Amino acid sequence: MNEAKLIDELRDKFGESVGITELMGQNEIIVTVEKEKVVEIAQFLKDTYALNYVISVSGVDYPEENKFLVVYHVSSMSENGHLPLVLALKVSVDRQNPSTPSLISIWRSAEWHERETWELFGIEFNGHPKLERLLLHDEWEEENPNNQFPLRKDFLLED
Amino acid sequence: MNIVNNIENVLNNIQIVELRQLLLFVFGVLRSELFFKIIFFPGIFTILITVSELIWLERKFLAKMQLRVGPQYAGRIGGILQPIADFVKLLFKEAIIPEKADKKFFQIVPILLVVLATTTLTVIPISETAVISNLDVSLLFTFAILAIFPILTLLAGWASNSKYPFLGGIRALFQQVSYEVPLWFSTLGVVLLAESLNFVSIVKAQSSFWYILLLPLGALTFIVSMIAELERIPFDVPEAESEIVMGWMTEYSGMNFGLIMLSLYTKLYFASAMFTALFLGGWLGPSILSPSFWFLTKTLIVALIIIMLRGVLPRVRLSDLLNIGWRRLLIFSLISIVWAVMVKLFLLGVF
Amino acid sequence: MSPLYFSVGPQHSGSGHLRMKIELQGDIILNAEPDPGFVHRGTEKIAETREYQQNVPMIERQCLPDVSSVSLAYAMAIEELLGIEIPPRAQFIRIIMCELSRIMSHLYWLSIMGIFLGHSTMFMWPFGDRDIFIDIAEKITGSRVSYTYIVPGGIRYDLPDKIKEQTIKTLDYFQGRLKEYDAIFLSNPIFERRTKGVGVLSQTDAINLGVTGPTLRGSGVRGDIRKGIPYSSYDQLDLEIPVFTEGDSYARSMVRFKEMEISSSIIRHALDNLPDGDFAVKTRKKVPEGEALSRVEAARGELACYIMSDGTSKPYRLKMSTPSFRNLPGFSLMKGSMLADMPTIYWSLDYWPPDADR
Repeated sequence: MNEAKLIDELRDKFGESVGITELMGQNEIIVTVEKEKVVEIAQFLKDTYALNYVISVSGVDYPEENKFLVVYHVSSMSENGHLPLVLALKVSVDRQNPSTPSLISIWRSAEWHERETWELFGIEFNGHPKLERLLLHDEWEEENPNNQFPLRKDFLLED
Repeated sequence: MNIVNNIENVLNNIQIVELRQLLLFVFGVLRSELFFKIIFFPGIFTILITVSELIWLERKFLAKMQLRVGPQYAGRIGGILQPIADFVKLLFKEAIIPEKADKKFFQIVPILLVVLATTTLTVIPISETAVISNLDVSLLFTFAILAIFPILTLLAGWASNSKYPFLGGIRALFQQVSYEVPLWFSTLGVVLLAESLNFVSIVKAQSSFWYILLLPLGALTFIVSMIAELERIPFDVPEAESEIVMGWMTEYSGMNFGLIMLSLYTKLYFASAMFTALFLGGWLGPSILSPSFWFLTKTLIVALIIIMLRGVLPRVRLSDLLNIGWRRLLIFSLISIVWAVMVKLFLLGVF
Repeated sequence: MSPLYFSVGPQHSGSGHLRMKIELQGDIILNAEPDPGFVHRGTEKIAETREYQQNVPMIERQCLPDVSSVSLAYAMAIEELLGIEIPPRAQFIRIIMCELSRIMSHLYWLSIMGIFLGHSTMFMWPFGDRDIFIDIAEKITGSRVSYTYIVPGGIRYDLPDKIKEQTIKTLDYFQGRLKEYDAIFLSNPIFERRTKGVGVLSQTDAINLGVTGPTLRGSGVRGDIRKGIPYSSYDQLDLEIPVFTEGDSYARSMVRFKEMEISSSIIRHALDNLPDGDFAVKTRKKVPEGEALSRVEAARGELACYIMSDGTSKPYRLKMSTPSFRNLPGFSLMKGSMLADMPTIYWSLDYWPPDADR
């Protein structure tokens, strides 16, 4: 798997919407995209480079820059096992109106991860069939009506 | 009698006084009818002592199979008073009855279970004369009583008014009803050979050959069907712990639960005793020791085999269970009837 | 007849701390949906308020039967951020601890499988054997179940004397026990009948649903991080990967069983070739800015630890992508199966509720 080739092809095809692409350590690429193009890019990655195995989906909160980052780590799995490349697809989402298209149609394995990210951060995934409470208990919304999403930076733990 | 005299002479020659007296006493007890009548003849002692110690036997035996120790604290030797301790503990526990349960039926089921299980013991003979009620149709009587048990377990499941007991009760109904037919059919071979439905006559008819040698297939079918009727592993689908907690017994606690447990182990004792009487020649054995001793030993061996199966096999699925009951065992029991007819005509006619 | 809705709830002898909402028609499950979250402890949020070393005991209590792998993932991510290299002796000892944890976790798995199938001996024997491995761990680390032994920078103490003899003795005994397990538990006709053909996961589905670990290897995919992307000196050891293609519960159980044998040989090999040297390097409190993703093969599957650091001594974001959480799509296998198959499928996925809920 030629990482440099992948980066070049990404730049060629999606030039403006693809943000910073770094080659980090061995076999890891970080690609930052805007949410409008993310479905297309994800489809391209899956079809051309067989990146079909989602490792994790995490949200990161940057309150100073007024944005969320949704990080999809994907890799490639075939019948013979792992291929070493890991691609971190970072989607930048506005903090006031957090919503981004769901990538379930491309990667089915992202379903539960996206649901958890919605629950803990409040990022809407458009097109996800079941954005319901997963990990937190039933009375959470009643107990915290104003501050519903615990993993955001403004939710402080009472220590 | 020669052997008895020989043994007594040997014992009388022992020099140490206490040892001689102890061994003579033990030998006398093993030869006496009265001892066994008191302990094992159906009555209050049978239920409280024998059946309880059957519980102890199961726990200890399973523990040894599983490389553990088992009960060891209650009672000085090997925790032998453990079941009594459990019984006393259950007496002191609160018998919680769910609010929406049908209280009358909820409470009556454990009592009926114990009563019916004990009733079956009244017709099993321990020796030629030691039987409470020597009916002409004692085999039929036991089956009539056994047929009521599925209704009781369904009633327990229904009266609890909760989802898990409901599922357990339905499964118990399926299981016990489907295994009754092979159970009856497998004993028909015995009836044909012994020409009687009376237990005493059946045992007497085995004086030349035990029926397990003549009807092996029937014996196998009988024991498997009996394990299914007892709801023991591998057939404990109604109590499948991992799926439906305790099945139809879920809502029972305190002494209600204790009575249900008692009835289950009484049924185990009864099943082993019935197998012994039908297939293993009852009390027949060398006359050094009393006939009741032989009956008891054989019953315990059968009970131990049933207990051992619990340690070796996992639970069977419901679909497989019904498959075995309605197809395989039914066919085997029918074959065993035909086999019995052949044996009667050709083998026994010759002798 | 209308379907019966009931939940195999969090407090149930058949489910661990997981709630499953089951819709039952007769004996067939129409729909089984897992509802995790009963033991959610907020590990990721708490980790942001504490320093990296302070997080180590909390992180490892995520998945108690398999402690070493979780702490290894965390330690490896921090070491990547710090840019330090772990000495070979520490790497080999880490391998030994991970493989010991793997054996212990699989023995635990086998006993709970016994409970679910209703086989009491299958519950007692593996738990008894797990205890002798816990004794080894106690000799090495001082604690029976949650060691706090693998820390960023290496390991905490060196191996004690005579540990090699004790371990070899245990492994020899374990070899004989594995043969007995095979004879009694796995070749048991009722066990085979209950697990063969139950919960079949095809190869393409396994990859698309993103399952990992023995669930993946039971469906014909040769996916094991230890071989594919070796870490911590795994490339210096011979490693077999058991792969079965049927994709049913029996295949998954056999994968775990074979892994126990393979782990024993890895431990022997590692003990024979243990290099000398230091067992730890110095680390710094303040971790430079950046991000790191570390992947290890825990007993249950692939565990990925993603740390984003902002230059202080506390993590900015810690995300653990645990194997149990990634195996959640596997619960869809229960659709259309009998109620008796529910525990079989559930436990053959080796779903561990505290691991998934964090």
